[in-house]
Amino acid sequence: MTGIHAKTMRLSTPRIRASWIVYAVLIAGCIVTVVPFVYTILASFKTHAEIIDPHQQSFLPRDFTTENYETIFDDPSLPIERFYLNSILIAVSNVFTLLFSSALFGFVFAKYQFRYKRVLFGYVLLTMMIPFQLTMIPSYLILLKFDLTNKLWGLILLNWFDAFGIFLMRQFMRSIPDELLDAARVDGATEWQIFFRIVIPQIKPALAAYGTFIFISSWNAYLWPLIVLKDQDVRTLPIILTWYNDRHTSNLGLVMAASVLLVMPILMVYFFFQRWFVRGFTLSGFKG
Amino acid sequence: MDNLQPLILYWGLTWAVVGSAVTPLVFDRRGRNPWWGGLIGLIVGICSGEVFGWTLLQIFDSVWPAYARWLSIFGGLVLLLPLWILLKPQRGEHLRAHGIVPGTIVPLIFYLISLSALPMIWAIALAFFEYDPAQKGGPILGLGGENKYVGTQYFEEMVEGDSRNPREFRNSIETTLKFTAVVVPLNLLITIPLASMIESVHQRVRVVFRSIYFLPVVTSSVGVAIMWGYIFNAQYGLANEVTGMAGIKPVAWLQDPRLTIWGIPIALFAVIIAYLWQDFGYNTVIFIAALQGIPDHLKEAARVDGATPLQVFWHITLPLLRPTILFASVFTLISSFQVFDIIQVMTQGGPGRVEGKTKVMVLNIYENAFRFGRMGWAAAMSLVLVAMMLLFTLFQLWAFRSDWEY
Repeated sequence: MTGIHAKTMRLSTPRIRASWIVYAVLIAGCIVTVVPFVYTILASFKTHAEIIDPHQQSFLPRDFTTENYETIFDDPSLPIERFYLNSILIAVSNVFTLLFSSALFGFVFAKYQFRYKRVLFGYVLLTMMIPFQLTMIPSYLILLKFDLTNKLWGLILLNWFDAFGIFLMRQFMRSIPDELLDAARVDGATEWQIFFRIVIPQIKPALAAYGTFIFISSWNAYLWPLIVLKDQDVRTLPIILTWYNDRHTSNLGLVMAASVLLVMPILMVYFFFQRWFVRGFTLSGFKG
Repeated sequence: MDNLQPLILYWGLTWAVVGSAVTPLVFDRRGRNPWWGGLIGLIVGICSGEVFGWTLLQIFDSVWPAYARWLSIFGGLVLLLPLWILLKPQRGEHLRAHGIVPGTIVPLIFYLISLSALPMIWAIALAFFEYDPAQKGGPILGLGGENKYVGTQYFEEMVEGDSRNPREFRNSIETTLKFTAVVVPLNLLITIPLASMIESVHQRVRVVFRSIYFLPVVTSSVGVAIMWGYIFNAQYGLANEVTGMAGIKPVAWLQDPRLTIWGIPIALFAVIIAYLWQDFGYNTVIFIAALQGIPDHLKEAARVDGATPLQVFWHITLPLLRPTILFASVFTLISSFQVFDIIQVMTQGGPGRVEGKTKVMVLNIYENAFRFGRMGWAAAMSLVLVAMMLLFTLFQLWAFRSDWEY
């Protein structure tokens, strides 16, 4: 099937022979993209003495060492597993709550008729346009009232609504034919069964894309966790990394090793799921 | 007993949501109007949650003080359960409505009012008060009381104030505008040609390029900031080595307050490079998708008529990309107005204390609200930020308006 498809594609769109200039520019761009990563990773394997020695500057580590990583893992003031756990916990719970709520609300907006639907949906879209900077102060005050600051719960509990997710799910569910749902109704399915057995399986690709998008943006989130989480042991990885950075500014190798530990998990996930990642982000129209 | 306020809020919120979500389904089963079920469930849930939550707390506080708080949460069930069980089915023929609709929509409306509309109103109101959460405020949203009403004082200060805060504010506007003015055009100048180059190569290579260019986008911006902080390190950084090869003297990229490049402070320049590096993959992917949507026969026709590739790009591709360029420029502009992470980590707004060379608006708002406890002033500044974003977006919509399709 795909083979035939590819063949017809190739026949119908004549291939443009890209000149070598195009390839040169694209490869140069790749180098610019990749060098900071490589530079960081290599620096994390250099000794402190090598980094600060002006006569010994080289791209590759001269005395390859893993002592930076050992220092981080042995540091009793930095229980790194704990911060990994915090970040994963928040990201995973956000994925589940937001996937469920967005799919459910999207389903209702896509497939049911009720009075004032357009007004309500318009308002949901409007909340998407409100920049976070406007509501971050009152949102923090609300968390304060709920006594949820300084708790991981604070980042999960009140975060079960995402206007963009609702919009996205509705767009996908609109393409599911109504006849399919009506047929299920005739067969005696309840609305919940229709939702879980018919609609959800139909939009799996969209769910995967949106899910990866939530995971990555909540893993990388910085400003809001920075405001909410003040105590050391509830912090997420990005926040602990800046704290570590401030404490060890002079020891660059150590800080680079710490940032490799922050960045690598997402890059790994990216390599495995990159199809979904790219799609999730382009669907979003939002920046992480 | 210590502060009960959070608990009282939990009682109301929990049972408002549960009541308004479940009751419509019950009403629907019994052949009654589920919308009424939603409304009744909401009211019964809140009342029962508050009243019996309080009662349960009092009762269990003497028996099991350790669990009293947890058990008090179940107060809402005291009235809701009987309502669900004892509700009589309506007699006669009826059409089953869809209980799922009010069962989701009523909680949604409740959420939108209490946790979305309210914060917005609160944010606007805060701008007229001298607000600090540590102070004891008035009864409504903590406004009034020790949090004094100051009227439009903050906005007047912004324009003509001479003290530290207004100067810092005006500096942050200038910095944000400079940042945006460089980032948006540069981003588009890089991403549009890049995307069309990627689009022109073979499918298989295209995917490889696309996923490499997208790497920085998925990287945590804190990680990006630390990586680039090292590259721009004055003594050991890569940036000085590279410029050193061109014979330029080493520069303290992130610390030198005086040095400028084309009127842009060098630290801001360094931050812009890091930001562009992280961000360009996003628009590139958007433009690749848009380019793939342009029908081939249009370009083919131009090519047959003898147009060079550059002419095709300029006269066919670019005009057809116009809606996408609008979309990309609006979103790039909005997100560069909101820049925070990279700057907070790389420079903390410095160099320079009061009028920091990289202190953008969001950083200024954050510091005032959450470090100095000047929430009213911060809210006033965030109103200005939002107004600016709105204004620029409207301008872009007007500038890129197009009324034709292909």
